[in-house]
Amino acid sequence: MNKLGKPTIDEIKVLHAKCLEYYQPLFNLYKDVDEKLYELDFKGALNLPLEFKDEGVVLPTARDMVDTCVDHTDIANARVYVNRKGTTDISESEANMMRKFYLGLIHRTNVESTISPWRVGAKHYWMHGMACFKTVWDADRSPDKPEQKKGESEDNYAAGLDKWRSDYSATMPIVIQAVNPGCIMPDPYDIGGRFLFETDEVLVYNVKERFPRWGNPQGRSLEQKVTRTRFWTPKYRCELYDGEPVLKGDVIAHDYGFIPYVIIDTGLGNVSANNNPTTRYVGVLRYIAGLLVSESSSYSLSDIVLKRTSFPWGTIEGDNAAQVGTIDIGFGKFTKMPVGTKLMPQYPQTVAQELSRHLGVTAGYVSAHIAPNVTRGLGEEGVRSGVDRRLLLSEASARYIYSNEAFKNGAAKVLANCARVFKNVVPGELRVWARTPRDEFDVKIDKNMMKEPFTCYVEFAPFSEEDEYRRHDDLERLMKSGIVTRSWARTQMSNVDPEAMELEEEVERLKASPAVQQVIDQYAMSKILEAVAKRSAAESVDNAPPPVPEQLMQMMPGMPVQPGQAQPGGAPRAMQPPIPNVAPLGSAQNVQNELAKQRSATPMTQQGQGGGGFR
Amino acid sequence: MKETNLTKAVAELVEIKLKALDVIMKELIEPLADVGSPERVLGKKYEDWTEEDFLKASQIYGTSEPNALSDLIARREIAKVTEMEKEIL
Repeated sequence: MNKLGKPTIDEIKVLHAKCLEYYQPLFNLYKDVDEKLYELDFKGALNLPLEFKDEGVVLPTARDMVDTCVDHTDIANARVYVNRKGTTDISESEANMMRKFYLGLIHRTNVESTISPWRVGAKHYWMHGMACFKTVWDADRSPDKPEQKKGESEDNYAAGLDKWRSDYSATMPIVIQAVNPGCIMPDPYDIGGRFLFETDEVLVYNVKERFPRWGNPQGRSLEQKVTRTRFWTPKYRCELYDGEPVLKGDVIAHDYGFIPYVIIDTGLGNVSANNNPTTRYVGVLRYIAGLLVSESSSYSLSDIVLKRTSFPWGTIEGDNAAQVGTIDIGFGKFTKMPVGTKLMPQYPQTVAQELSRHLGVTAGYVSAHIAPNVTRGLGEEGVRSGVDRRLLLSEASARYIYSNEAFKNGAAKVLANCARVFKNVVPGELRVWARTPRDEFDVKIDKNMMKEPFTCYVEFAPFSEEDEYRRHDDLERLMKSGIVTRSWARTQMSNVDPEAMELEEEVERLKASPAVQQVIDQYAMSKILEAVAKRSAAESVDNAPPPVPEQLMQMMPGMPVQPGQAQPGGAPRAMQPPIPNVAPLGSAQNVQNELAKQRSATPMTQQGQGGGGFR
Repeated sequence: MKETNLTKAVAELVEIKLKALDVIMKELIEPLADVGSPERVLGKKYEDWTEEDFLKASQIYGTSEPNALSDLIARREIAKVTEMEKEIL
C-alpha cells in the first residue's frame, strides 16, 4: 500500500474511464431499477391497453418494503465501547475520552444535519445493496481566525482571539456524509482499498468562486452544472472539474493516511467469480422488479375492470323493446313498459375476482421476499396466538441480522476514521457533548490523549420497545434461574450502565452498614464540636462579652475567661473555649474507645450463671 | 503473582469497594470536613479575605501549626502558584 506512487492526471483519467466501464452496468441498475421502483416511477411498464393507460395505479409496495428494512436497521440510541490500551489509569481516561468523542460525533452529526446521514445511508444500503460514508474535514465550517486591525489594542485583539478559540472548538469541522452509491467508484479489485472516485455535479458559479484559476474547458455558463470528479488514494488526492485539475500541484499529498470513505455491503448480493459488481451490490428490490410491476399491473387491471363492471346494468328484452322510453329509477316511481317487454339485470363477469386473487398471490410473493406482513405490523394469515406471532416475527427478522451487524461494524469504522481525521488533519480543539442512557457530558477533546490505532465497537439499541421488553423479561428469568449472573444480565441491557449500577449498589450497601454509620457519626460529632468551638471563638472575637468582676472570677475558678481580660493569676487567658477531648480518628485512643464500646457490659465470668432468664 | 480467577475476583471486589468508598467520601465525608472550616466560620471565600479577616482567623485558630487555617492557606497559595506557572509556560 505504501509503495503506491503519486499518480499523474493522465493515469487518473485512464483509471476513471476503466472504472466507469466496469461500474456503468451497476449504475444503470441503480437508476433504471432500484430508483424507479422506489420512486414508483414505473407506470409505463404496466403494459395496460392504450385506452386505459392513464388509469394505471402504481402500488407503493416497493417503498414500503425498503422503508421496512430501513426501519429495522437500528441507528438510534448508540452505545460505543472503546478498549483500554493498557492497565493504567491513563489508559482508562484515554478510553473514556475516546468513547465520549465517538458518542459526541454521532450526536452532533445527527443534530447538525437536516437528515441523519445514518438514516440516508441505511436507505441506500437496502435500496442499492451498498452504503457509503464519507468522513472529511470541512474547513469552511469553522470560523476564520481574526486578524489584528490597525490600531486595535492588544486587549481587544486578545479578547477576539479568545472568542474565536471558543467558537472554533464548538464547531464541528468533521463531516460524516452518506454519499449516494451511484456517485462512488471504489477500486474494483480491492473494494476501494487502493483508490476511489467520487463523481457528482456542481454549479459552474460555485466552482469559479472557489477555484478562480479553473479554465472552464467546456465553456459552460454560470448556471450550468459541471462534473466534479474526486480521486483519492491513501496518500494522494485530486479534484477534476470537467476533467481539469484545480488543486495547486494537480495531485497533492494529504494527511488523512487512508481513503476517507467507508463502504458497507448488505450481503444480499453474491461475490461472483468474475467480480461482477451487478451481482455483488444487490438491493432488496432488484430481483422482484417483475413482481412489483405485475402487482401494480394486476391491481390496475382489477381497478379498471371493476369500475366498468361493478355498477348495475341490464338489458330490455321483448318485441317492443325499441318502444321503451326513459325509465325513471327514482324512489316510488313506476315506469310504463310496452307489452311484452322485460327488464333483465346483468351481472359482472368473474374476471375481476380472478384478478383480485392473482393480485393477492403477487403481493404474497413480494412480501415473502423482503418484509413479511408480520415485520410491518400487519396480521399473518392463520396466526392465532401471540407466541406464534412472536416466532414468525423473529424468523422474519432473521433476514436483517447480518445486514444490521454489517452496518454496526461500518459505523464503527466511520467513527474510527473521524478520529484519525481529527487527530491528523483538523487543527485546534473540538468540543463534543451528548446525552445517552449511560452518559451526559460536555467535554473538550485532548488530542494528546488520542493514541492510534483507533478502535471502537458500536451498538444500537433495538428499534422496538417490545423487543426491549422481551429481552428484559428473558434476562430476568435467566437470572432468577441462576443461569446467568446479575452483572452479566445488566451488560445486555442497553439502558443500563452495569458499572455505575454496581457502584451504586456498593455505595448503598456501605451507607447502610452499621460500622460505616458509626464511623461517620463519630466523625460528624467531632466536626460539629470543632465547628461550634470555632464559631463561638469567632463570636467572642467579634463581640466580646462584658468583663466578669474579678471578685466573682475568684469565687468561680473553672469559669472561662473573656478575651482581653486578665487571668486572676496574671497569665493571659485563652481566646476560645477549650477544645473538647475527642480522640482523633484512627488514633490509638480512638481505637481504645471503640473497643471499650464494643465490649459487653456483662463480664465473661458471669455468663451462663443466670439460669436461662425468662422462660 | 500468577493471575487466577480468584485473584481477578478479589481485585475486582477491591476496586469496586475503593470506588464506593470514594463516593462515600465525596458524598458524606467531604461536606462534613468542610464544617468548621475557616471559610465557613468567617462566612467568606478565601479569595475575598481582608487583612482583618486573616487576623481574626489567626485569633480563632491560633498560630500553632498545623491547623485547619494553615492547611487552607497552604492549599490555596499552592494553587495560585501552580496557576501562575501554567500561565508563564
